[in-house]
Order: sequence, then C-alpha cells, then structure tokens
Amino acid sequence: MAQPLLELQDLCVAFDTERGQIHPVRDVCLSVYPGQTVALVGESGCGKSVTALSILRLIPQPPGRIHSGKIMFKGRDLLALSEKQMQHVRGKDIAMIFQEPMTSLNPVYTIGDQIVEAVTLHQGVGTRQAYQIAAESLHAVGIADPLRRLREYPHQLSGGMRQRVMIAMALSCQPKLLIADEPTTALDVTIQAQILELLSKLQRQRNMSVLLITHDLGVVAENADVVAVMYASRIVEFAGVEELFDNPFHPYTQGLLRSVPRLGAKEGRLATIPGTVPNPARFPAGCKFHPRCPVTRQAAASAPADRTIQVRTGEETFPVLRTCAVEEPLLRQVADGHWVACSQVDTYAAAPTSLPVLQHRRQVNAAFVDPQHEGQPVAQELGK
Amino acid sequence: MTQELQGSNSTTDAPRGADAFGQVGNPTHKALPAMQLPSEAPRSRPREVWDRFRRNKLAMLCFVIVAIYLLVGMCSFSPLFDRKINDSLAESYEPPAWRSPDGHIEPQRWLGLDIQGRSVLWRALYGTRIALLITIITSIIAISIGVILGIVAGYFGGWLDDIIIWLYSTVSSIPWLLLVIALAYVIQSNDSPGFFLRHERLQAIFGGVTTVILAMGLTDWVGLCRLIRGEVIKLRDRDFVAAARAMGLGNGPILFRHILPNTTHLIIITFSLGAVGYVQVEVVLAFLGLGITDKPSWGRMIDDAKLELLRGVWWQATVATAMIFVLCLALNMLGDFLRDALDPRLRGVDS
Amino acid sequence: MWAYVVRKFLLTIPILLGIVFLTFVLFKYIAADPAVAYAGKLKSPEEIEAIRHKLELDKPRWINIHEACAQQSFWPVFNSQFFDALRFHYPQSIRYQESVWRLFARKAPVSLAIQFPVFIIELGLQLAIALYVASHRGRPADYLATILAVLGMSIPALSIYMAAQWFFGACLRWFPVAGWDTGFYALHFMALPILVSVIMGLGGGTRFYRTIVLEEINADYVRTARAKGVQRREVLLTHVLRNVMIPVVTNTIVALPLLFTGALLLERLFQIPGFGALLVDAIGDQDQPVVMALVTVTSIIYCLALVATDVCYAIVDPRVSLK
Repeated sequence: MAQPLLELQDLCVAFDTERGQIHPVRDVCLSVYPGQTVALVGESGCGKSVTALSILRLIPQPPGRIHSGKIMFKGRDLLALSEKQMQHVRGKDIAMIFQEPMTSLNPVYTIGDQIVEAVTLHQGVGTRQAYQIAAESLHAVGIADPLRRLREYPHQLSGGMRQRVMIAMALSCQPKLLIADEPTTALDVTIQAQILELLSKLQRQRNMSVLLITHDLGVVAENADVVAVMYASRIVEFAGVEELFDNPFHPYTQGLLRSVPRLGAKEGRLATIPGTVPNPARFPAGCKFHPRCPVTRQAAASAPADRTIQVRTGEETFPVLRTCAVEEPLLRQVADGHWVACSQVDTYAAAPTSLPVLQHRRQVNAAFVDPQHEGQPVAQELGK
Repeated sequence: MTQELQGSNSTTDAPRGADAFGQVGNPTHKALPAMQLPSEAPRSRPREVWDRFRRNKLAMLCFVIVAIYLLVGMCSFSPLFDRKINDSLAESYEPPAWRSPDGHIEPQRWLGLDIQGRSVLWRALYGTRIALLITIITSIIAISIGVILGIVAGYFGGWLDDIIIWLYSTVSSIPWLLLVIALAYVIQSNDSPGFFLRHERLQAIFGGVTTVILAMGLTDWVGLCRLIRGEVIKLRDRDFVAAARAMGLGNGPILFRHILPNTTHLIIITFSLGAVGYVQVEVVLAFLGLGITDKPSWGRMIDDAKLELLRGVWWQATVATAMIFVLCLALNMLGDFLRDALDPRLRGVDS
Repeated sequence: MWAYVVRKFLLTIPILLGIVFLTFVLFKYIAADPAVAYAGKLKSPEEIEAIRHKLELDKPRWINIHEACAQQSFWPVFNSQFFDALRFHYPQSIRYQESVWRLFARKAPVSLAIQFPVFIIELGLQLAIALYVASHRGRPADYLATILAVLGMSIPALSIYMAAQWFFGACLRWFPVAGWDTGFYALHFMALPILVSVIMGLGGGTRFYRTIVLEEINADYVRTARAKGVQRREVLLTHVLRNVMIPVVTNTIVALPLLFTGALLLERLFQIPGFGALLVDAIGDQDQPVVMALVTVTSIIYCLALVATDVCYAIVDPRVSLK
C-alpha cells in the first residue's frame, strides 16, 4: 500500500485569548495520498483554515501554538523541523493558495516580481531565467500574453485572473501538495468553474495532491476524491466522495446534505440545521453537536430515564442521550473506507479506532485522462 | 452539574438511520434544573464595553485615577483653596518637609514652598481646577463645533459640504500649535474695553483661563469634524435611515435620534485623547506668557521653575510635571482602551 | 503627471486664499492695534500716536481697522490692505527694524541646523524600532516600547527639556546648558538640543509607525509570502517595509515644513536664535508684523507640503493612478 503524502495525526492547535485558551483544531486526523484531492468541509469557524495554516506552520505564534500531534509529510514530521528547514518545504514541497486573491498579492510589486521571488528562492536560477519560468507558469494557468502581465500590478487584473496568478505562483516550483483555502469563494460562479477546472487539469498533469478547503458541497461533489467533514474543531466524518453523498452517517453531514437546495424539489422551505455553531471559547461537553442533533433527541425520547440527560439551550430544554452529552466520540471506521465520529452509529461498537488513511480516488471520465500520463495511477477505486 | 430526569414518557422506539428532522420528541418532564449550555444570546454594546472594562484591570485603574482628579478639581472650587494658594508661609523656597520649623506636622509643607513661600501642595491641587476647566470647557466647545459642522457637511452634502470642507482644510493648513498660539496672542493682546465684551464677562467668572480655552476650543474641531463627516456619509446611505425617512421622519429627528447616537463612539474617544493635548498645550502657552497669569496652573508652575531648577530647587517643577504626567498617562490609556472597545471594526473577535 | 500636479495645485488655491484671509482677519481685525500693543496699555493717545508715527505704522500700509470703520472708509482700506497681504507685503518688524524676510533668512538656517539632524535620526530610529517591535508583538520588547512611548507622550515637553538641561548640563556637565555660536563651534551647542529632541519625539512616532507596521504584518500578502517560503526577516524588509513606506513618506513630507518653525520651546530654552525663537520673542515683544508674517508663511508652506504629499502618494503607491 502506498504511503500517504501527508498525514495529520491527532493535531491540536491552541490559541491563547483574553478569554482563556481555545482550541480551533482538536485531534484532527487526516491523510492525503499522491494525486488525490481531499476536501475539508465545514461551516465558517469550524477550524478548517487553521488546520491548513498549521500544516505549513503559519499560525501566528504569540496567540497561537501547535499544542500536540504530528504532521507527517513524506515520512518526516514537519513539526519537528527547524524554521530554516521549514522554509524549504514551504513553496517547494507544499504550496498554498488563499481565499482573497486581491489582498493576498502584494499591491506594490508587479506580478512578475512576486512569482520570480518564489522561483529564485527555490530553484536557484538567475533572474532572467526566473522571469522565463514565471511567464511559462502564467501560460500554464491560461493567462494570455504572459510577458505583458508580468509587468502589471495586482490591482490591474480581474479577480479570476488574480487567482490564476496565485495558482501560477504556487505551482511555479512544482510542489507535491497544494493546499487551497477556499480558492473560489470570493469569485463569480462562472469563474469558479473555470478555476476549479484549471486546478483539476494541473493536478492531473503533475500528479499533484490537493487539500481543498471549502464550505461548498457542490464544489466538493465535483472535485474531491475524499471528503473530511469538520465540526467544532474536529473531523466528524471521513469517506470517499460518492460514499459520503450516498451514505452519510453523521447527523451533521446528513443535515448539511439535506440543506443543499435541489433543482426540481418541491419543498416549500429550505431545510436547515436548527441552532448555531458553538463558540470555540464555550464548547458544550461531550459530542459538540449534541445540542443540535436530531438523532440523539429522538433516541432520548424513547430511552429509559437513566440513559438520558436534560440540556438547556437559550430557548428550550430537552433530553438527549447521556453518552452524547458526556463523552466525545472518536473517529471510528464503520464501513470500508468510511469513518465517523458518532456514538449512535450501529456498527460503531464493533469497529476499532484507526486513523483515516483512505487512498480512494474517484473514477475519472476517460475523456479527461491526459494521454501523456497514461501510466500514472490516476483512476483507482478501492472497493465499493 | 448534571441532574437526573425523573420519569419520562415512554414512547415507541424512534426509527434509526432515517433522518429525524422535524420529529423532535416532546416529552413532558418536570422542570428540574438541567445542564445549562453556554448561552449565545447577543449582548448590547454598552454592556459589552462595560464587561470588557471590568475585565481590564489597567483600564479600571486609569478610570479611577481620572475620577480622583475630577473629584479634587471639583473640591478646589471652594474658597478655602483661594486662600491657601496665596498664604505665604515663609520668605522664599523651602524644600519638602514633614514638619514645620516649630515641629507640627504640616501637610502643606510636604511638597515644599515656592519662591514666595506659598504651599506647593495647595497650588498643585488648585491646578486641578484649572485643568478641569480647560479640558471640559474646551472639549465642549471644540466637540460642539466639530459635531455640528461634521453632521451638516456629511448629511446635507452639496455646496454646504464644499464650504465646510474648504473651512476645515484652511484651518487645518495652519499647524495647530501655531494657530493656538496665534489665537491666544490675538485674544490676549486685545483687552480694550468694549471690543470683546464676552471676554470681559467670562473673565469675571473664569479668570485668565478664557484665553486658553477659546484659543484651543475654537481651533481643535477639525479632526472631529472630519471623522464625523466621514461617518455620517457612511450612515446616511444605510437602510435604517431610508426606513426612518420612509416612515415620515423629518431631517431633524433623523439626525438626532438615528445618526448622532451612531457617532458617539468617535466623540468619546476624541474627548479622552483631546484632553491630553489641551493639558500639554497649556504648558506651552504658559511658557510663552499667553496662558493663565493670575492663578496657579501646572503649566505656570513648570514655567516658573525654569530657572529654579539650575539652582537646585526641584520640587515645584517635579510636582507639577507629575500631576500632568499621571493625568495624561491615565487619559491616554483610557483613550486607547476606549478606542479598542468602541471601534466597530475591531469587535467580533470574541463573539 | 504634471497635469495632476497642476490640477491639485489649482484646487489648493482657494485654501491658500483662505489662509491669507484668515490670518489677515485675525491679526488686523481681531488683534489690537500694534502701536497700542507695543506701547503698552498705559500711554496716552498722543504718545500712542507718536509711537505709531515713529514706527511708521500710520502709513497707509497699516491702519487700524477700527479707526477706518469710524472714518467710514472700511472697504477701501480693507481691500488695499488685503491686497497687500496677498502680495506678501508685510511691514517691517517693529523690534528689529528690518524686513521680515531678511529676518527669516537669517534665522531659518539655524533652526534647520538642529531640526534636520533630529528629523533624520528620529525617522531612522522610529522605523527600526517599529519594525522590530511589530515583528515581536506581544513579547516583552513590545510592551516596553509601548510603555516608554506612552510615557514620553504624557510628560510635558517643557519638563523634559528642563530636566535634560539640568541633568546633562548642570550635573554631568557634558554639554553647555544653553547658547549658540557661529560656524563650527555651533556643534558644541547643538548636541544637547538634538539629543533631547530625538528622545522626546521618539515615542509618538514609534507608536504611529508600529500601528502601521502591525497592519501590514497582518496583511494577507505577508501570509502568501511566508507560504512561498520567504524568511521572516526578508518578508519584513522587502514586503512590509515597502508598503509601510507609503504612509511614512506622506507623513514625512508633511513634517518637513515644520522643520523651519523649529521647536519653539526648544529654541527659547536653549537660547538658539532660530525661527522658533523669533516667534516666541515676537509674541513677547508684541511685534505683530513678524507674528503675522510668520504664521501666514508657515501655513502656506505647510499647505503646499500637503499637496506635495498627495502627489508623492500617487508616485509611491501604484494603486493610485495619476488621474
């Protein structure tokens, strides 16, 4: 079995705020294989961006720090590296693109200067050659007239083009892993499609892995191989994309999928998950989802008194299962290639705890397979 | 802190696996204390500021210091002070001492005596009165002008806005200190009767403070005017103003009830940080001879101490400096804290 | 680009006119009769007339507006005097008996000799400290710098000058307490004022630059640069500094004209015969022409510096187009 390219093992990140210590990332376990696209899904504030930043160790140190855990990249623990060694990883082995392309580019330097900075840093070439390489990367992301664009400033480009530039900059040093933090959230829908398609194409061409962070389930369905669902700083479900959409186990995932509007559906009202995401400074005890979870409420309604407990939110008081309110469930494998962190899943008791290491890749339409890379393990399915 | 539920309905088992939205059970149960989940109800803004304030010990300390000054200042209006600042206890300078020459413990000697033998302690305390008058009245004048012009310029726009912009651009083209000095000079040089009548009457009430107050008050409105104008421009296009207008409210009520309250945070911050400037400039004016001449003020005490220092007489300058320093420090930190607490952009960090 | 400059300048003309008008009204209309002021309050009208004649203040150039009103000739007088003001025709200094311009020319270099080194040293130190402190945010150095800066801003300038004079001049005897000399020997007298000025001004500027640097350090492009693998120090000096330069430049240009005015307190206290001392003395002597000329000229230069700031801003920041 191939080794995962990136593996997060029980990663914990802590922030010291004036209200005490909060943990935006708790015991996160994730794995990314070569050539795979892993989507990290969740609502705003669940900790996905912090997870991504901590892979590259870009968490601002005074308020934040990486509390515990390991980040194994190609067999090395990134958390054990020195700052100098880390700088060789950033940009060269792992690259990252961000949500807001306008502010993510330095407004006072030209595009060319900024791409060349990355190139000269990692590839040790002269300036003129670096500009050549920069022009080639711009061309690879589909920007016309790259030599002219190199001399322009970020504010002279449109949003979609800026994001292409960001991608070009990130890919200019041929990284093995690209972390994309909500790359299309700030863009129009049509541009969104273009950028995602571009990312897929480049990924296949270079056999690159992508960690795609998003809150958009549509994007996940179209682009991801494997999905990790995050809620309240933890991964609550991890499965292949088809498996997840066909068979969501965790009540939160079920809620998310239910709330996606469908064309042709006749529902009068958009379904939502009642309640709000908990404040990291004041997490409830036990499973963080239990105040909003319909499964545990339902079960508590018919359970004997000693197995339930009353909880009170701002507006109402209702019973939930005691286990849900007191113990936080761990990620456990419930089916082949499917992990869930929920105490109410049937097969839960039988399955052991293990790190999710799913090598699944979605079946790619034959028409998109690049003939040049026929020998690469692009389309692979791991049982079903 | 968990409590057991005593008795509950027994219903049939809920179907598993199917999603159960909309089927939340509704058991009847006794209203026993239940496990309280953290509340997510939003708090009002003054409440929020107050909570932040209570948590920040430093801000509380600064507030207490300012309150003490305020208290002393108000006490110093009593005639007792008027007497004490002129009582001459000795021929000339006396360093700080616990006791008087005949052995009593005299508080008024604790900070020494000045060139005319007057108690530095009383004079320094009297200085609080001057500082109080200066900060409060100057702020009132400057803030009033700034707010009125700012609101008018921002809300009505058009040629009115242009004129006010021209006005504050012109005034702000003159470096503030220079302008204050010029104005103070002009006001002071002009005491021919019949010309500045107001000046005369106010003179009787406030003493020589008028020059300083007018010079600073009439010139310091520019910063606040700009800020308020910017804020009002942003506010007047907001939906709640359109809604108010659609309800039939006229300009007046809209300005007073909707727009003005949304600018109070700027006013509070400006007041706190502006007061620091006034106290400091008073020192400069005293140095130039344009300040308060008849009554003791901290600026004048420092100015008088100019030459004393080289002769080894340190107490008057030190005391006055310390009084100013502590007040300005407290106001500065309070102003910083208020700015952090009231700035809408910085909020949302812990909500 | 020149079209931009010219347009900006044209837009400033109403303000320049406003400045002249404001100072004119202030000094001619609101202020007292200069002859009366100079003579003191107790002289009789005849003596005042004599002084006025002696100081040549009764020439049509400078007539008391109150009397002009009384003589029903307000507007002609006003117009002629305002026209004079517009042409920068000021009467002679009452005390020095020479034209204000020649006075300025004599005093300005002295002020500059002190203020220019102070400016350069202060700017360098402030930027360096701000960069260091902002990149070590939350650490002891940051708190220390903030505390010192706030302390510096809370103590009245006069006290610090006096304390420095006492400490360095009288106690340690490193520098002379006050005074001035010409040529090379001036260095001896310049040292203490420069030292004290730098210490005084360090606080406020550092705090301001620290805020700016902090804003830039927390910007997204810094995150991108670090994600590319750029070192912290490199990011600071290449990315952050370049962006910080924009407000720094604009802040700096605006401060330049104030170099002329010198520090009023500083020069008076240290007996330096500069521009600031000129103003202080003129106020004390009730030398109205000098005060008026000084205020007007300084304001106009300051206003022009603000315009220059706008233009430089457009040059330095590529986002602002020269349109």
